[in-house]
Amino acid sequence: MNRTAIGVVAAGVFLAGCASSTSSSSSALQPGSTGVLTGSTVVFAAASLKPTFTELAKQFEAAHPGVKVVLSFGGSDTLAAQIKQGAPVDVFAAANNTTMQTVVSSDDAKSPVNFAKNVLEIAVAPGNPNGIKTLADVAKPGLKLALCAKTVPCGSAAQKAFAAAGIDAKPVTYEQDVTSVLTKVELGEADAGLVYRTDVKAAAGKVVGVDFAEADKAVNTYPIAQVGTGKNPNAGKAFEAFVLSPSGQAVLHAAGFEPDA
Amino acid sequence: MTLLEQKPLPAKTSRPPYVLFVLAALGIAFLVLPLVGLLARAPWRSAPSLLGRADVTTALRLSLETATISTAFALVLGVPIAWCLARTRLPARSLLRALCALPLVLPPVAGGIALLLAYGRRGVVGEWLLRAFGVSLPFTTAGVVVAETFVAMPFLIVAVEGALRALDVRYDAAAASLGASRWFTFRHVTLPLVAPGVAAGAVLCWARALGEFGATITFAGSYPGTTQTMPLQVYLALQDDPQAAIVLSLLLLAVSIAVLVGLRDRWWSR
Amino acid sequence: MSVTDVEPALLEARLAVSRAGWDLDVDLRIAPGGVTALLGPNGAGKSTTIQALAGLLRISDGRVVLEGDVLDDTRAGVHRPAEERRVGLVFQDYLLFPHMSARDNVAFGLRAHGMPRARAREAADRWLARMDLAAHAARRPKEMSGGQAQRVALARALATEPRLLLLDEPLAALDAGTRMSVRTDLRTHLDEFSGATVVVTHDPLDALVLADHVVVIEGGRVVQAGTPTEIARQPRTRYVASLMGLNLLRGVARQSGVVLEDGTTLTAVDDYDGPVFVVLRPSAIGVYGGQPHGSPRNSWPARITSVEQQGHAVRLAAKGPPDVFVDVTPQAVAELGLTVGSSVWLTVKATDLVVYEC
Repeated sequence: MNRTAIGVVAAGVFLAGCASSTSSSSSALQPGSTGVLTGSTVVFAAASLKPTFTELAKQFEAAHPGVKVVLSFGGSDTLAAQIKQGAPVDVFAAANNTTMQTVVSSDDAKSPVNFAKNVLEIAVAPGNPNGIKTLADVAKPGLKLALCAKTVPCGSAAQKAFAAAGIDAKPVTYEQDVTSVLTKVELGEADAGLVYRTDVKAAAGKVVGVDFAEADKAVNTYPIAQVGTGKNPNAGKAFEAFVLSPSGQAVLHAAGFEPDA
Repeated sequence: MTLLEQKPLPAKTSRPPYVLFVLAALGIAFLVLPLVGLLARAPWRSAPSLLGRADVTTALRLSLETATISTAFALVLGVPIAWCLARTRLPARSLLRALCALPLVLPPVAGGIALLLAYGRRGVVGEWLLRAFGVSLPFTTAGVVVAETFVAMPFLIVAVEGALRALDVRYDAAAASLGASRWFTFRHVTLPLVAPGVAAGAVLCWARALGEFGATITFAGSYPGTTQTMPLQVYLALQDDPQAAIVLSLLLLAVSIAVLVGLRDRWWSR
Repeated sequence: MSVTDVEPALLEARLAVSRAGWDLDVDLRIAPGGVTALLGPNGAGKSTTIQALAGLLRISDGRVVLEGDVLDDTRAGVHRPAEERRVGLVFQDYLLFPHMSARDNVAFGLRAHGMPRARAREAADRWLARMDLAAHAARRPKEMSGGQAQRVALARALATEPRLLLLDEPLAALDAGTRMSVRTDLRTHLDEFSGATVVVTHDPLDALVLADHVVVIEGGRVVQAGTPTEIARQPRTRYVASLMGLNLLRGVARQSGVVLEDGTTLTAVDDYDGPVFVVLRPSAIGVYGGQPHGSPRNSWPARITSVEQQGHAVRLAAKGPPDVFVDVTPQAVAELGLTVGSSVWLTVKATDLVVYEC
């Protein structure tokens, strides 16, 4: 995993180096100009952002024909660790603020901005056969509830939500990730599972999502920031701006993310 | 080859050709270095408190119990399968053999999904089980046993079939000529003669069941005390406390080695 | 043949087995206490015959009756499996169960028939004592000599009190030194056995010593049957003749001359008319460096095609016609300078020819 990521980064660096040497005159002459961007820009993003950031990169490249966005996805912690080890990255999008803060405090990034938030939903079988409407419904006896393990973000978010609601949930299983929770619900083994709204959207047709009030207490915020180790800050800055722009936000919204109000 | 040449041969043959020696040494290093890594990076100071934790001992006991029960099931079902594969002239025997070995090549997670589709609440058999007996396997300890048996039994089947194939079938003829029924022959001749193969297969099976992760978490889920075995706990610990994961891995390793060595002395000292 | 026809048979069997490109069709009748040797070259069908008798192989056609008990009857669709037959089988390599002591090997059949362990072991010990193996009861098969293992295998088969005992090459796995004594022992045990015995062998000495009746099988068919003496004196196929160390020629007798298949004529003393066998003992044939003068009426030129030391004699293969084997002394070989390719003259007295009807 790490090897692959580093390999991708190395390729990105190499491309960036080539591009800047051949086009250094133009970019050097017009600093800060967003009109003529060239070269490659390296973006590290949390794994849960893979579908949206892939789409965003495609649209960004279409708008800026001279730029290539090199994407690398992984666990936020892993990516942050790589940045701190000096990986040449222009933009970092994390799945939570805690992780982003570690990069900020090591002076590798500054002024992160929250660009999206993800809320929990109750995933149930299509048609909601058990008639689940509130978070309290999933704690009903006899109902099989699947949660993420407390050590993974979706699990800790679920714990927060239950704590906020004062509900003592009795799950039948603590799964290792969101996908496993969804699988259990899709196959009908579990009657309900707590996952992110974006996960429900991605599994459209196989499960449906039920919103619940306490989700507000367990919101997951996604920050984005420019990273100092990168070789193409101009393109990086432009990409961050694109993510925050209305068209960028539209892509995120379509995937189930909410704007950070 | 004359008799004179044969005498010094045993000493010579015990020294491997250099090529083999070098490759074997490389191979051993390859296999042992990860273990060295675990040992070198283990947080020895925090280990004792971790090992005393109730959730750790619970998971360890669950692992040992389920692996042992799974091995028992694998013996009861796997030995007959091996016998049929080795001894009968079933028309689709090679296909059958390939099917029995399927869990060996199937990614365990995929095996878990397959188990859900068969024995899950909505599964082909599971739906009937639930309707007829009110039994639902996923999220139960029985489900862990099902997953472990599914993944580990092929190891036993392969080992026992090999042992049966190496056995002279004429022992069966000899027993029959002495008036022994086929069942009597199986119990008193065939089984004792393949016992070393069965023991080796059971050990492989047990070890595989003990380390089972993918099929277990997919089919049985993960809940402390009922379905969260050691490998599952190791994986979950890896998410937030990699140091603990190292200690737990070492614990699993130490326990399995202790059991295997203990059995070795008892079983196959002959 | 005439003997068994008179006595009531204990075993009466007609066995036919067909396989691709090969078939077997054999009749056997054995009286109580009778020992029949099945003699034949490899692939003749000897093993198939005893496997069929043991019930380990299903016959394609025929009927096997042992002491009034129908074991096989293809017309009636009867086939009793091996474990339901009162048939004991001793394999060529004995197949003693390697994980059991000699005692438990012998007790196995009794245990299989439901006898309690202790009683079965007592009975096994009695059998082992009869075989002079009491001291070896606790040994595993790999700790025993070939001769001991052979006796354990025999005890194991006899302990179940079979009515038919099948011995497959019982002495083949032994070295020449022990074979002689084991053969004599075996003869003693067979004499005490009241059931019928079939001994499969390709060694004529086994057949002659152990059996009171010999059945010769070649290519799946019985080619000759009779007492050991009959077989030894008047072989009816080249295979049997060569086993007995005899030259067998075939021809047509006219007055006192026999016109052989190769066209040459030999003079005999017996008066026969029609197709006959002629037997020549290799040691009765004389060898001369040139054409002999004087009396012998049967003499012919030949060329030596092989020279082989056999015990204290030298066996020559001579190409005639007729082609024969000749036994001479090493001195004769030296004096005549016999080597492969030597031209010689062969003679045989008319009184040394044994002629009998085909």
